[in-house]
Amino acid sequence: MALLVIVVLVIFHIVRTLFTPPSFGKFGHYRADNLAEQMSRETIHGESNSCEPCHGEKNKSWAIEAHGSVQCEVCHGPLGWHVSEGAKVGKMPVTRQVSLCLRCHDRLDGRRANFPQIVPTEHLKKVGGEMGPEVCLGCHDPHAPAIGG
Amino acid sequence: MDGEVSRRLFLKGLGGVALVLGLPGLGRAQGNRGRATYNWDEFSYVYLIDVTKCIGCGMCVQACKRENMVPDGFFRTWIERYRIGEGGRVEVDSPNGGLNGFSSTIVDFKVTKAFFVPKMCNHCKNTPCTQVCPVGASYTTRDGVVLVDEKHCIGCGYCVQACPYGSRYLHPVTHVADKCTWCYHRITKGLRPACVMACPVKARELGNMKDEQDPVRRAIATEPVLVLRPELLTKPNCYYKGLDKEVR
Repeated sequence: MALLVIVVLVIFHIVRTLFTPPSFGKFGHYRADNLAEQMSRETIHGESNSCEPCHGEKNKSWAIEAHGSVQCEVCHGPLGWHVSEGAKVGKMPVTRQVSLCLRCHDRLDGRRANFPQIVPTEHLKKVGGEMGPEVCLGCHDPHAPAIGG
Repeated sequence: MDGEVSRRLFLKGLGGVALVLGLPGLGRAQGNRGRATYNWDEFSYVYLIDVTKCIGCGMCVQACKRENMVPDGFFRTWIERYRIGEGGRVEVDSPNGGLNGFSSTIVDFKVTKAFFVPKMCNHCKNTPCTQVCPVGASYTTRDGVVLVDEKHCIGCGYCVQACPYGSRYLHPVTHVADKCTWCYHRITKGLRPACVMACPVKARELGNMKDEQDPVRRAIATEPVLVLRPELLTKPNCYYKGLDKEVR
């Protein structure tokens, strides 16, 4: 009987050792190696200063405009689509569609009153113009959106 | 399944030598941005969402999708629009998680107040999801981030059911649990999470409770903030400013 218990314990110990990853339990009830795996994942987006090395001057002039708080990558796409390991790998997408502008500026329930927003049909009626896929850009430069200073 | 294969190899003794030895040095940035080393003892992350600032543009959802390759139809973060009318009528919508923003749909009552509520994993202190994991694949890091070890997860989905905030899902390709990591691969390199970086109105911010000068820490200490479903005692690390009682 005692022998059986010992055999069972030994088998249990062997099986447990085999099935437990080497770093499990180092910091807690998890595989510590996963921390390094999580941290080493590649970033797709950059940061607010990521465009500066190549587009520094433009960056500075845009940053003071009304869209200064909008990161370049929000409209143009992630840095990772454009640059990899210091080399250009693709052209940044440039979206000129009304739909991009209206994501922020379409008048909606829930948008605070002091945020600039329009009802497109009313706005076009007021300023004179016809709806088209790139109609906003006819008057507004996305990098300096205010009209008349 | 990738996770199973990897684990099998691990069990056969081919898993390699442990890499983690105290963490400093592991967070080395791949580019020239961010910090060179990372010490998790210097951080205790919190997240602050200002509902009064959010405009529902969905740029955070889009950035999260791209940064983390979140599959179509699933979300690590999403935005809900609440429209509340007379007589307590409430309409909540989240078209495609707010990925493409919102449009002016009609509701059959007079809206008296409306707001957008970004949602994500709350990285709770008393997290139900890690407690139910049968294999120790879901865990909380020392700096307060709830993560999933995709190589160790068996995809049972227990944690998905346990999360009261609906923040987890089973990945349709890897078949293991997936969730917001607060972009652990970014924050440990000194970068902001993709959603915080992408927000044009600064409605989302990540803070460090161990930094006395941290603006998020100060805001949580000095301004009225709420957490989602406090009655569950999960102690979320995600705080909200301007939250309405109708938000669940």
